[in-house]
Amino acid sequence: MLSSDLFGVIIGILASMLFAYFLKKKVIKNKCVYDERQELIRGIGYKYAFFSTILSLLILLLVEINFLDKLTYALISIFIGLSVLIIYSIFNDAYFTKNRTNKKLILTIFSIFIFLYITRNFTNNTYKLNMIYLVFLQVILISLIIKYFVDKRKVD
Amino acid sequence: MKNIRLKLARISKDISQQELADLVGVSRQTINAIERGDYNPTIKLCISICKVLNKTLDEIFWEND
Repeated sequence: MLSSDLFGVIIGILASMLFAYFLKKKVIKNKCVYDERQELIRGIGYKYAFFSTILSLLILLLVEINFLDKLTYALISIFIGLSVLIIYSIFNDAYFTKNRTNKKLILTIFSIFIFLYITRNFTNNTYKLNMIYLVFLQVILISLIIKYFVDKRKVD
Repeated sequence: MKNIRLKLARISKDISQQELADLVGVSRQTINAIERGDYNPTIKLCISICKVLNKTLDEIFWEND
């Protein structure tokens, strides 16, 4: 018998896969592909993300935190890995494809913030996961804003 | 090492980094990285850039002592 949390996670993954499938069609249509330099940087980023995930999982398992369950441990590690990849890509100009800007992403992140705020007291576990996700998004948002101002200073 | 010759060739053609990037099919940041010498492009990209700028590979990418 599946617990309600696990069931929710499975539904979430299935919904994401469905969303990714429809998004893929749109991406192919608009030819949103990374160039050779971006692919190279993202490859290095994936390597760092992998090691960060393993390392964070190891640290989290060694340092026992009582109020977190196993699922949260795993999710924190994944979020840390993803953060490393995204931040590395953002600061090396490999996060956005050729014709994309950061405006759309900032708007999306704000929409998710609002959604998380609305659903904050759904259940205790959801609240914890939402908080982790919120921190993850804040890190991305701060990186995007810093990068935006760094780019503004550079002269062509 | 900065690639001044690429920058000069681009300016002499009166095209921006973004325009050159669009013509060769890469991001503006990649052209910027090549000009700053932070990235070594593949031969495929070098040839594309040379074709757009009407230059030879030697003229833009060969290092003179």
